[in-house]
Amino acid sequence: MITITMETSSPKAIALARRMMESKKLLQQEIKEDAKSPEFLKIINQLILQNESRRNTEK
Amino acid sequence: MNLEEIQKNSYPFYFIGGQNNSYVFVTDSKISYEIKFKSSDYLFDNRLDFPVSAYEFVIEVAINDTNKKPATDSKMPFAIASIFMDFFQKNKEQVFVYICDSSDSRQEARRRKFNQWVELFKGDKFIKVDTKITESETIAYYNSILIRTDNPRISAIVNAFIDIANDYQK
Repeated sequence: MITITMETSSPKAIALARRMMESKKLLQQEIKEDAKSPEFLKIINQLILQNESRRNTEK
Repeated sequence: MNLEEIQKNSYPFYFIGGQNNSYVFVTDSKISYEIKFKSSDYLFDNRLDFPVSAYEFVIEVAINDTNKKPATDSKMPFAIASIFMDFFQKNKEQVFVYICDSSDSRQEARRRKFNQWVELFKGDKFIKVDTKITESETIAYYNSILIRTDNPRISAIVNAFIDIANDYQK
């Protein structure tokens, strides 16, 4: 993979980073809210069962 | 590492979808994580004369009833890589953006972790642009964009991002 690395202190880049951080905080909050929904809990329980079944198969 | 090997070592995941393209997975310690890919149309500041499917990526603990801080989990990087690959496969012209949370000054550790996840699926299929944005002596942000090398507009996208970082005028 090609990686380009930059360092900057430009006002535009700082403004963009701040906006991204705000957006990230909103998404983090959204995840906390999602976790309260019964549908979400149902999916989580299904995934727990899948994990258990997978572990039993691997034994 | 190929997709089959990554999936073999990963936790199963579920695509919930929704406005912000949610995925979930649960670890063996029963800690639930949710990943979201949120459309980020502001990113290129109208510098491109074609639409770009840019997404902000976030991963967060959704449920942790263990009363303990999540420990290092060897399957977790594979689960994240599997989810990335699943989402990337839907559209090769997608661009991903990740900014490390800097609210607790642990952004450098998060950047290292993000790089470990990307290492698993990078191959020669991606270009990554890492930027350290320094606001002051104590505030710095690390962000990365990931673009598939077979994206036909890769050079225009990378150049636009570099121009924004350097504050070049349109």
